Amino acid sequence: MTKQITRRAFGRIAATTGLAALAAPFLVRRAHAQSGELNVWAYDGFVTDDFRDAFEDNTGIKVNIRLMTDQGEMFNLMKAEQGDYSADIVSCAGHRFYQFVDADLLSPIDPAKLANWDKVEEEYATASWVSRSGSVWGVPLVVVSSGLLYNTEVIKERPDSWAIMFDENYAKQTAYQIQDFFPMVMGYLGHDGSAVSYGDDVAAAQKAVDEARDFLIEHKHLVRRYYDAATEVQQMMVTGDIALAQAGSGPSSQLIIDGFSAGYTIPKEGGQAYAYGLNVVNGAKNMDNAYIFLNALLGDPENGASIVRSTGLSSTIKGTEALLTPQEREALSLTSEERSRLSWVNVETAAFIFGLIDKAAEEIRAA
Amino acid sequence: MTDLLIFLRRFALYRALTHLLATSPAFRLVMVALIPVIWIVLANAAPLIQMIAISFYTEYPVPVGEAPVYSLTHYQSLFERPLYLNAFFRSFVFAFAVTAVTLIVVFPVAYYISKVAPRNQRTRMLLLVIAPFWVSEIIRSFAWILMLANRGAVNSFFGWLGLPGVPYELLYNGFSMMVGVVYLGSLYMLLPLYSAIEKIDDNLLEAAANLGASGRHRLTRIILPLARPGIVAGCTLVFLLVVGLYAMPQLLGGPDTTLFPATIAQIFSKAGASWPQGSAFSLMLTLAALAIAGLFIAVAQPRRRLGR
Repeated sequence: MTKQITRRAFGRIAATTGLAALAAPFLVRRAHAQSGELNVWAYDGFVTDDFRDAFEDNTGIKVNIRLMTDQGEMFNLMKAEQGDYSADIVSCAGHRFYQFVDADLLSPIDPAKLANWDKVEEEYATASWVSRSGSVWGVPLVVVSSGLLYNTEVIKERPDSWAIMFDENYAKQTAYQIQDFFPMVMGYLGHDGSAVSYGDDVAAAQKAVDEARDFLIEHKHLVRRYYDAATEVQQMMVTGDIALAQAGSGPSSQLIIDGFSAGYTIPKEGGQAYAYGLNVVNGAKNMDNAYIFLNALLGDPENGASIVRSTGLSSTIKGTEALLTPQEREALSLTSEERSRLSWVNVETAAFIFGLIDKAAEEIRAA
Repeated sequence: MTDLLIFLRRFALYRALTHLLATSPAFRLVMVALIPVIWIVLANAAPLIQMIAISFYTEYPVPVGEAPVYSLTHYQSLFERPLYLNAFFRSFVFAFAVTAVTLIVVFPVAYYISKVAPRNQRTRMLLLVIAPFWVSEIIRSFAWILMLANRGAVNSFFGWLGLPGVPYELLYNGFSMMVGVVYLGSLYMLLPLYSAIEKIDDNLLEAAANLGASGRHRLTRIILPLARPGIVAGCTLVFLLVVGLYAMPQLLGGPDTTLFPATIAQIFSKAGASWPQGSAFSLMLTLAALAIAGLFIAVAQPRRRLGR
C-alpha cells in the first residue's frame, strides 16, 4: 500500500523544513554553550577515546572534539568567529601560541584552579613557550622534536649530517615538510635557523633565508615529495617510495614501535624542538568545564602514556615514562648528544622568521 | 489542525493566498519552485557572494568597530609574483591535457557500451564502470598510491616480469597525477558521451557501411559529428572539475606539479589576514575557468539552423 502525500501535507513538511533550516544556526550555537558540554579542537591522539569515555562517565560533561591538522587553519577559523568562539579549548603549538595570545584568542590559565598543575614536569610548566607577559597561556601536553628519519635497510649506518638529504645516491628517496625543514637547512648552511642572532636585522635574516631557498631549489630534483601530514611520511616509508625524511619524532617513533626498520636521529647541524599544549579560549562558553577537563587530563600518568602511544610524542606529565614498555622508551629516546643538538624554537622571534620562511616555501614549491 | 485552518480563514491574506493557489497554476508553480530556489541561493550563491565581498576587503575579519576598507590589491597580487601566475597557467594547461586524454580514453569505452555491447548488457556494464565512483575521491587516491608505489601492485608486477630497473618511479610526479585525475574525470566524460552516442541511429551507420564507407569515414563523418553534444558536455564537465581540483593532485603529485588550487589552499591556511587574497585568487580561477568553458561551448556546440 502506498501512501500519497497530499498538497496540505506537503505544505506542512515544507514549512517545518524551512523553519528547521532557519533555526539551525541558533540551535547549533546553543549546543556550543550548553553547560554539560565541552568543545575541544585538538590534534588526533591528544584526547584518547579511553580518557574521553572515562571523563564523560565521571563528570557527565560531554566532550565534543574537532580534529585539527594545522595551526594556521585553527587561527583563521577562530579569527573568523570574531569573539563568538565555538571552541572552549584549542591546541596551540608552543612556537605559535603567541600569535593566538596577541590576537586575543586565548585566556590565561590560572594554575591555582588546576589541582594537578604540579604533575606537569617542572621544566615544561615554566617554559617560555607557555608563558608570555607574566601569564601562563596553556597546559603543556606533548613535546616534539624534528629530526632525520631513515630506513635502516637502505641506510645501514646512523647518518650524522643533513648532507645525506642532498646526496645524489639517494635522489628521489627523500621527503620533507618545507617550512619545518627550512630552519635545519639554514643551520646546515651555517646560518641561524631560529633567527635569534639576527635580532631586528631583517636584511640579514632575509639573506640567510634566500640562500637556503636557493639551495633547496637547486636540489629540488633530489626530493620525491613535499609532504604535509605526518601520516604521509609513514606511508611513503612503508611503501618504499622514500628512505630518508625530515620528520617529527611522533610519526618516527610510531613507525619504530610498529616494527618498521627505521631509525630517528638529530644530525650534528641540529634539529628543532617544540611543544603542543591545550589552551583555554578567550571567553570560553564552558570555562568551568574546561578547567575540570584540563585538571583531569593532567591527573593521570596512565593517560599520559596513552597519549604517547597514540601520538608517538613525549608526554609532559610526570610519571608517564615509567609506564611505557622498554621498546616504547627506546623508540622515544634520544642520546644525550642528540638531545644537545636540539634547539627550542624561540617564541619571540618565531613570527619574524616564519613570515620569511612561508614566502620562501611558496617560491620553492612554484620553482 | 481544523481549528487552526478555521482560525486562519479569518485573515484576508490567507484567503487570498489559498484562492490564488487553487485558481492559478502559475502561482502554484512559483510556490513549488520557491523552496528549491531558496535552497540553491542559500547553499550556492550566498557563500560565493560572501567570498566576493571578502576578496575586496584589505583585511578579514574586519576588526570589531571598524568599517571595512575595500581594495583591488589582492587581485593585483596575482600578477605581481611569477610564482602565482606559473601555478595559475599550469592548472589550465593540466586541465586541458586531462580533458583531452580523458576524451581519448573514454570515447571508445562509451562507444563500446552504447553500440557494440549486447543491448541487455548495457545498463549492467554502465553500472560496472560507475560503481568505483561510489567510493570517495580520497580513498580512490590512496588506491592509486597502493598501485603505483615502489612496493605497489604495478612495480611488483614489473618485478615479476623481470623487467630491468624495477622499481620505477611511478608515483609523486606528473604521470601519477595525470593517471589519477583522468580516472577521476572519466565518469563525467562517460555519461554525456554514452547518452549522445546511444542516440545515434544504427541505420545511419549500417547505410554508410553498405555504401562503402570505411570505419574511419564512419567515425569522422557520422559518429563524431553526431556525438558532438556529448563531447562538448563531457569536456566542459571534466575541464571545470579538473581546474579546481585539490585533494587528488596533492596526494598523487610531486614537487614539480603544484597547481593553483594548492597555492590557494596554502594562502588560506596561512595564519593571519590571508583570506581576502585566497578569495580573490579563487574567484579569478573560477572566472577564468568559466570564461574558457563558455568560449569552448560557444565554438564547439553544434548550432541549430534557423527555420528548423
